[in-house]
Amino acid sequence: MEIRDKILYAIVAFGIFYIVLTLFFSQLTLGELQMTKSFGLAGIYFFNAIIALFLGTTSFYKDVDRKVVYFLFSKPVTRAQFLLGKFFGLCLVLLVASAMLGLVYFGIVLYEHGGFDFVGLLAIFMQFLEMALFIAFAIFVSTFSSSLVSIVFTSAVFFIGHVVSALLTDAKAIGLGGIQYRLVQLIYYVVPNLEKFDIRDLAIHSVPMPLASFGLALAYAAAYITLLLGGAIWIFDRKEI
Amino acid sequence: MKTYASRAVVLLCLLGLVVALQVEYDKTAVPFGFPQGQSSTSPEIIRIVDLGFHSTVGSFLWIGTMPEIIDLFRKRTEYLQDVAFINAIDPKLSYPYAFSVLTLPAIPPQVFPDGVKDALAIGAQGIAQSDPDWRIPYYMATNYYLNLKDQKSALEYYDIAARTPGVPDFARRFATNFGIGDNERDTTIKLWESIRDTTNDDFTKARAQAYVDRLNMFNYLDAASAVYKKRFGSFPASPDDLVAKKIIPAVPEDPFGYTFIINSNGQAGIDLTKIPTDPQTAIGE
Repeated sequence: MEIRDKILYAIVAFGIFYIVLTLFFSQLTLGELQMTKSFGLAGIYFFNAIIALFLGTTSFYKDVDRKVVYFLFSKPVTRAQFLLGKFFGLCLVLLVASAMLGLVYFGIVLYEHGGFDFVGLLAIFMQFLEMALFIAFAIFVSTFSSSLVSIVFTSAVFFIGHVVSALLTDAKAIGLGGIQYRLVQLIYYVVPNLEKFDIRDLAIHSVPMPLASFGLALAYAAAYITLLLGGAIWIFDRKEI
Repeated sequence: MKTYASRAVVLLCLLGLVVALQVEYDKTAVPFGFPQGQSSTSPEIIRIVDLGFHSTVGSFLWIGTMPEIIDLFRKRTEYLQDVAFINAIDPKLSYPYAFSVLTLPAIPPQVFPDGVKDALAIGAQGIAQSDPDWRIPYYMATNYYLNLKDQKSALEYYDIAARTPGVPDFARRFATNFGIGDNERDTTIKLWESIRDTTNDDFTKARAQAYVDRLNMFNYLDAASAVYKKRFGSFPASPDDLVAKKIIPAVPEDPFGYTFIINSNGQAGIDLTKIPTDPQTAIGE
């Protein structure tokens, strides 16, 4: 259903237009590779985040609101299957969007600098993992709230997920102690920590990523997505529709 | 129809009023009090709220900062503050350092007297913090040589440039062979010996020794070439002729991988058409 949404096409088209524009941005700085990579990878991330937020927070709500779920549950489909199908379907849409934007990006890097950006590919994959986690969170929130609340919650987690590391560092730096510091630690460990999926700066500056960090980020995403989808299934199973 | 027109007029009037009020407000607004050229936001705050887009934010700000170099000709120094700001947001973004090292010394000293000093300070910071970018040490070396007549520092920075990953062949060739001409070779040897004898860093010591050895090889070939001329009346066509006539036992091997030649005037040089595939960056490691 999501791929029939015209807004999705508009976002992807605008994303492609923006990434093509990076050709112009890099020319402003005399064709610097760092600039091309920096603006290109940021564009892919930004437009994927919009797609993830848009799809993740509205898709579930639309199915319930338009009574699609009644039709689905009259077939041999369980609620868990419905939620998992929704998650993997949205991830697939996101993967296709990432692939389209990525192709344009790699084409530009190849055209401008004559090489394939392997680390950039890893960065896009990590961005995809972050977005998958993001979609899982949006589905989880959607099971107990309205679409609008889901947008607010998910956006807040997106923001907090990127500042928690700095929050903890600053709490240490200013000497925060006692229960206040414990509270910051609780937030740091419980809220999805999205910084670990951000390897754009490493890709732009060609800094190698430790294999262990990559593996742990992968495991973190898998564990958190499982937790969120498990929670969503649990809530949705008890919900009267 | 008349109602629609009158409503449109009222809305347009209100819009005009809004614009006018904003214009009037701007005239009365109290300045926020930040000194000219200084941002109200610290780089630390930007790094916290930019959702990990450090490099993109730095790159975006750099596009706006680059043209500010022109303002230095008008004695306005916002460029320097903004470069420092960008470097604090993304210390690894190498282009602002390289661009500054290249351009700041070109501003006439009567309008910007600290151009060379600031360029070298920014360059040193760039070498310490940024991505490996051969342009930073290369331009610094050029500044030391041309503007400060400091050949010793020039040699050190050319050496850094020559072993920076990604350095193009033309730059590596120039940097490695800086000061090998027979008119300045003795000075270059003394400078590398001085670097070797005064540094506590084993890596630099080994690099300096390699340069001294190499320059002595040029002297060795020059002397052998002179002997050849004395014996046979003409200069050798190549170092192999010196071996063939048993003037030297073997052609020395350049520690930096270049191929020695004998020029038509009998002086030793390097074959500019043969770029070593191994840049010999491992010397000293």
